[in-house]
Amino acid sequence: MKVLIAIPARNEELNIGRVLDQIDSLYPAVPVLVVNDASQDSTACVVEQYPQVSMIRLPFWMGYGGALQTAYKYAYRNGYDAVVQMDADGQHDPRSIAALIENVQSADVVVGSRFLAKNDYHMTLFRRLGCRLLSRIGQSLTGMRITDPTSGFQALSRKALSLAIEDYYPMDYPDLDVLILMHRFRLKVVEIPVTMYPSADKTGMHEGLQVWYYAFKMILSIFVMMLRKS
Amino acid sequence: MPLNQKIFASSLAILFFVFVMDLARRKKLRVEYSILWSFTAAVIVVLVFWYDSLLLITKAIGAVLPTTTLFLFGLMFLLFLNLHFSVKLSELSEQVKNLAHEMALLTAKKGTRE
Repeated sequence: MKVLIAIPARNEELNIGRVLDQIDSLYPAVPVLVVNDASQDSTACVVEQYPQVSMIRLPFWMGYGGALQTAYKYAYRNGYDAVVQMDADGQHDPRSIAALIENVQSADVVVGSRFLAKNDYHMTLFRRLGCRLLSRIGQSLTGMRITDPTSGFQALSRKALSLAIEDYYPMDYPDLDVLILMHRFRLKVVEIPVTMYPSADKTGMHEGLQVWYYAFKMILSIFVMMLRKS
Repeated sequence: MPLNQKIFASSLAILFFVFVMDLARRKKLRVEYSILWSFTAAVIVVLVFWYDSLLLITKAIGAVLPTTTLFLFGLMFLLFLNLHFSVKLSELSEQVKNLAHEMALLTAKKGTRE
């Protein structure tokens, strides 16, 4: 199976090197792609020090969803059978990649859940409740039990990639709405335990005041997704 | 409507029309939008010289004052116009996103493992 590890990155000069070192030592034969989302720091310079790593530079800041979709298009066009996506900030333990790859051979989307494993990851109560609420919404709409709907640590099969490269892929915070989209297209979505760590030096996408915009946007996105013909 | 009001309002509408045509001539405004704004100017002129039409519409919608009618339709026009621009912007954003993707993919640097 031809697998690509895709890492969207923006302003991660302090973390990306460590992440690439870990991946290199664990999976020396697996191709890695970094999508540099118009970083304003030395992220690109750090990545260039790894000649085995492929890199795409986006011409302007496209956001997490835009960077991810770029990686999907790259993987799809270059004939990859699956993509493992992970964060560049060191939150996702590369040792869990093996389990994601193993499971994507029999499923279309493998979501790595920090809640199914023992982790040092601690979420604020507010965010945990939000995750649970999204989980419930996902379950009531699709019957899928996803404990970690905001996890960006996932593996996608080629079939899932063929959907993810289309224009209806949500650019803004692609989370539960993407899983629902995949489910509506009758793709097999499974969840496995993975190890995650707290992000060391910045606020995440789902922190602070952004969480309100995220919540509103997610509910609206799911609503629109359900209105569309599958 | 007093004559000086008619002259003022119709002059404004005609000046607006001329300005729109000039923008279209200088390719600052797409022709499809110049049609919309020309039509708007025409509606203003019609209302100025056929004031009774405004009174008819006012009565039809159950309003009391013609100014209510003007404000209501003016606001609705702006609302739909903004919605139309949102749709156009969404289209353009999608096109720009896809163009950016194509450009980025064309200039991708492949690592030694690929």
